[in-house]
Amino acid sequence: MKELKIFNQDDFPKYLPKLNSLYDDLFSSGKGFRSRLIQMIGKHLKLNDRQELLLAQTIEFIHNASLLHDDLIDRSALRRSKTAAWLKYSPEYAVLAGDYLLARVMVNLSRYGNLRLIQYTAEIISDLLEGEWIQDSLVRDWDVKLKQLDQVHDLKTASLFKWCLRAPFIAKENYNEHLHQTLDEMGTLLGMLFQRGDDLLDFDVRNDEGKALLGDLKSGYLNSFAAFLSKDFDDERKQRLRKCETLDDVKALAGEESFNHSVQHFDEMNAQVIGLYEHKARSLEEFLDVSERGLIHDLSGLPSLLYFRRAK
Amino acid sequence: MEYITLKKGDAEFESYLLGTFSEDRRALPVETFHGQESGERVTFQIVPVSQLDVPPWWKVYFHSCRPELAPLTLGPSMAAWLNHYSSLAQWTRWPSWFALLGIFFLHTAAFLFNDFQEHIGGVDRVNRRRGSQVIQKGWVTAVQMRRWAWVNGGLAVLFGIPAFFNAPVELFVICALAALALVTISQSWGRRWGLCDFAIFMLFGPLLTSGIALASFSTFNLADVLLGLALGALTLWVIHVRQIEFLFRSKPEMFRTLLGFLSFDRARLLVISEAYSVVLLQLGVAVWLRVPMFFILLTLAVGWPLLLTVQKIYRATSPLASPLVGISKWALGSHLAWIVWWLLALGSIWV
Repeated sequence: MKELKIFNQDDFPKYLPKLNSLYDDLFSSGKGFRSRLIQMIGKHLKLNDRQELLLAQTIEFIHNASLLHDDLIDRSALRRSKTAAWLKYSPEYAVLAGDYLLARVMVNLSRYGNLRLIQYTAEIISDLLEGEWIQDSLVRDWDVKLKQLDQVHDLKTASLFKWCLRAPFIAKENYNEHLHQTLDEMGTLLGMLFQRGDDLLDFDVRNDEGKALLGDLKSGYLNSFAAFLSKDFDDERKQRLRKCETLDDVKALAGEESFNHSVQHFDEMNAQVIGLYEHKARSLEEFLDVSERGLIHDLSGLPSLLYFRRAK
Repeated sequence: MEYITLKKGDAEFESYLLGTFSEDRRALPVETFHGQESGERVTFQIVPVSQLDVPPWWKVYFHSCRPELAPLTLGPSMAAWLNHYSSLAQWTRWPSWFALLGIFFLHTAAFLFNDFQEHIGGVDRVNRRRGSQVIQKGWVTAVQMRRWAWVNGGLAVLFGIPAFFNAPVELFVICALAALALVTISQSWGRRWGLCDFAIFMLFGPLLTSGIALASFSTFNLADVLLGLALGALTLWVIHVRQIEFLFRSKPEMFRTLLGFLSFDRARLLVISEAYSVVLLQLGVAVWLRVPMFFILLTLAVGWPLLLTVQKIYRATSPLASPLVGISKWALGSHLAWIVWWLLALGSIWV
């Protein structure tokens, strides 16, 4: 897969050096998973270079804008092992830089001229912001249930996955309603799996990338695994959970064996979600040309990668 | 694990929804998208009946009849009965008992039909905390549920007809008004302006208490109507609490309610103000009916679950906040407490 240059200083005003420097920091790290997903789909749909770059930039700009805002809202000091933008520059710059990225998305898409793509992108940005807003209301909510979190994640996390799956088809002007419904449903499941896999990292489960532990819990947020683990806790244990400083504290509270059982049950539950996703991926066959059907195989491998963090 | 996704237009769609596609397998709806639209798509998980942990039929039937909601219909009916303590002699007449039995089977038939309808319509498939969920769990098929509903509906008519002849003309008017209320509830145009809510209030309130009084004793009085106002308002509040619990999931048009049209904050304010008005209304009617002072003093104890419900709503910072989870159970508990209070209070006047 060829390397795409998502951030190009020439695309941004030169008289705003701080903005460029902030973006340089932001885009120089990160896995660029979403833009790679676009590339993977684009390869099967035979998107041209311009379309591929536009879509890859769009999704990365939206994603990074949400990170800039997210870090400020959560007061996170680190982003991808570097000082977060709001701390390194200022909260004002972080907000403006995020807003500017979203504005650039609209400028770029308007130039391309596909109205459906513009409309869909605007809807996704709205969903993302709604999700952020609702999520903030769940901070320090120690009784939150997995179902509630799934609803937030559908707006906040899954919306971008849905966009990645659907936007290349929209760019190719394939508007088949049933195809888009299926892709939308797959995006919901991918988002859920990604978020749940990510939430497990907080508890050092398959944490190969060495993400800081208990970040969510320490910021007062019960993530999906924490909600699953504590679903049968009484009030007293919930009080103790919120005060846990280390993973050993959590394991001591839940019981080592019970903790491992919870991880196993969580995995089993998500394996069912993966089964459902694979069923949907197979059903794409009727909507794709013969030359495009390789996409089904590539898409089928995503859930394992996102949830179990390893290729199938 | 076997899955199948079907669109509304597919030939097999209905047979999977109704459960008639196979004798020994059940189709459990896992996901529903675009419910009540022409583009509806449902993904079913296909499970052999032998793999399902199905309780005995009578347990499933009992669960489907929604006993926890019985006080909403039977409570006002019993209250209307007790309000006619002067008609003690008539209690021995069969039609008056038939009226209560008729209401009981009307309640069960309504909820069984509701389970069937909302499974087919998609509401209970999308929101897994609605309805009894026995169809969605594969305990019965939708067709079996519809059959149960017809049997219960038939029993309601069977018991209702002798009671109907106690006051045919007046009850005809009551039934016509009830039918009008049901039509209003089923129409989406009535939702924005609160017409559905008014219809629910009438149906579970004055129409129910007056109807029961007429069917049982061939007469009704102002006290029946006042009791109906108090208990109808209480039921409407319970329904509003339930709506606020599911407000976040009410985004699609299919779940639109009056509270859905108001914003969260305004909906919350409405439900809280309603709670206080309901308490004042109960007390006002109780004073008017000359309920003994002892019961008036008991309102503090009876009002406790209601106050807790209000406090939870007040604490909710968003429609997805945890204080709202399971809040309708508190509202139902509150309703039950008030119903018991009313029955004891009315019984004490009678004694």
